[in-house]
Amino acid sequence: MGASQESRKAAEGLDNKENRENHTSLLKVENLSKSFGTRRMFGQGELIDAVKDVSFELQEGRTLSLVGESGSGKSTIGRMVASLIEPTSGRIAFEGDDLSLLDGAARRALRRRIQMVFQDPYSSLNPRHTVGEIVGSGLAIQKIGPPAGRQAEIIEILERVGLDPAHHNRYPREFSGGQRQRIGIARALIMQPKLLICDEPVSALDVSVQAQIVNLLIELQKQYNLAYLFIAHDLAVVRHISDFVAVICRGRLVEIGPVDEILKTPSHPYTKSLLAAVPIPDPRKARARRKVILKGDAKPSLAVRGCPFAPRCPIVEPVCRETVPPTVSVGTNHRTSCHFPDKKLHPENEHPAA
Amino acid sequence: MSTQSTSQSASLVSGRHRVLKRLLRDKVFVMAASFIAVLFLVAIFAPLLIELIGHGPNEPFRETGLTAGGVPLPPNGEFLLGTDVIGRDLLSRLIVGARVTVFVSMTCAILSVTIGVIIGLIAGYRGGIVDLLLAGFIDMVLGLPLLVTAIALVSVYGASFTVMIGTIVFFTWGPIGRIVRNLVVAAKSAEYVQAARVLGASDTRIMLREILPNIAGQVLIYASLLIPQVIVMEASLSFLGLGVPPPTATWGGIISENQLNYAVAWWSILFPSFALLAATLAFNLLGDSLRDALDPSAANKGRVK
Repeated sequence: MGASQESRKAAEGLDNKENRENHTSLLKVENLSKSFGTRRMFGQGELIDAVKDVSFELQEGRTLSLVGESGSGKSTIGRMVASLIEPTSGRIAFEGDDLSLLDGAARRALRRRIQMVFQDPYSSLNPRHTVGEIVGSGLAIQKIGPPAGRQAEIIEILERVGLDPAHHNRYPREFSGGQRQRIGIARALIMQPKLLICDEPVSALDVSVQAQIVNLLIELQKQYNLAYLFIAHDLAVVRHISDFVAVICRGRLVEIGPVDEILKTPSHPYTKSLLAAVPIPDPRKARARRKVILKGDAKPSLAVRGCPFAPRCPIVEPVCRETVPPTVSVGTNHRTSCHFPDKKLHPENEHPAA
Repeated sequence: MSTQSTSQSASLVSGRHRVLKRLLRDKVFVMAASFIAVLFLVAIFAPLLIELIGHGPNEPFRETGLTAGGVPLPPNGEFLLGTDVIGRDLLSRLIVGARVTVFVSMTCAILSVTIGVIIGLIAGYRGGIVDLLLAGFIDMVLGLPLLVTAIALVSVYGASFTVMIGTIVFFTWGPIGRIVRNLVVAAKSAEYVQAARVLGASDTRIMLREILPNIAGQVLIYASLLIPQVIVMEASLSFLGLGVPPPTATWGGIISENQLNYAVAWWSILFPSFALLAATLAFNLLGDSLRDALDPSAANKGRVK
């Protein structure tokens, strides 16, 4: 765990922490599934399971990262929680309320509490609106407060995310990628959300800017007690911001647990493979590392009977292809879905693959 | 040198200023826009101008406007553009024709664009049945001949402004609708549309506030290119007697009335034809310039400079 995170949690105070442990989850996702049908003019096309039987919980003020390769369905999960797409089956409960049971006004009110930061800082801001209009659009849409008072709120939130409030009547094209992402964060933050879904919020930015945005997100989490559902594929970023990590492979959750345990003692072979792919800045260490080379791709395919990782797993056994592995506990709050969670990827006496 | 300094200053001024600056540098735009401005002024002040000339547009001057043998007069001090076959002042009639052209083309363009934008927005944003119906309707319109439809309608309802405008709008809103539909399909995948939905925006708000401002430029370009088509349609219908009923002067109607006399009265064909050509050309060039200014990436592709 990073030092900054250590101190962050210490600063929150002990009693506060205990309270939260007893508190019901802010977000509870149960058996969430989404299948997309390929469109045909006549008849039903093929059904593809983008997300299958995913369950997790997120407490107030905490960060859960969803990691996995592109196409693994992690963004689809985020979009379902944000009510951008409807789940095929399963349940999403926010503060105890089932999202699918809410209608009209109640659902709109809930929009305030769940906000989203998007991946592409260019496509996510309407080029025809000024920064002030973009940031204030949530207030206007939900008719929050008198129009006259909104300006003050916009100015305040722009300052909060580190932008010059004097620039509120400029257009997005006059800003850099990092600044644009701050505008996107301000737009979500002005709604005073409890849960912020961050869909790869830094993956389109320069590495130097990534750190600034991640630090801003951490600061804002402290200040507003925000919960983050952080979708990412960069494990270095995930390490910095997360409390918990959920690993998604072909639409299925294969391992979930506290960030330290997942990164230090991963249990699922897919998690191990992902960690083995994290770039190491030191070439000598990088060469010494045991590599895991995976064959095939991450595309969700039809009718997966067994483990979603079986076709590419280096330690696959026949049972993996036939039955879905049970979810077993391998530590405190650490669960994995593997038939052989204790089996090593590389037997000790074997040379690492070149 | 200048490109660098303009690109730097361009980032500081808003988009509208940049477009305006680009347009004013474009000589073709300035000329086309000036001609169109004059055309509009003539149309608006037509009654005043005719009073100034002193010859009513439908008034036959059998004594002064024709020779003793009944032949139309060429351009002269009294009749600046000559007279037509029954001794009416051609200039007065062209001025009234300008009024009709401007009125009909503007009405049709506004109606077509409004209908096309509304249907196109819904079809593109919602997809599904509206989208299918729009596609089907446009295919049907493309299969229908304008003139045959117009003849059928006129034979049932008689020639009138309403029938003519209705016919033209019927034939022109579809393609606009399809263009808008395609622009909306492209625009709605942008993340800012999803961001608006996460904020709780209604579909109407997303269509009007998020998507429409981003496609308005292209719609404006197509609308300006639609106007010359409408002018030609109006002239064709009036030429065939399917448009504005006589004696109201229209450019197409004037050409039609004088078509048998071109050998003795060339002016009665030349001037209305020239007016038609100039108006059509001006709107076309205006549309081209608008496209270049609003979408610089497409500039210089379809146009020789």
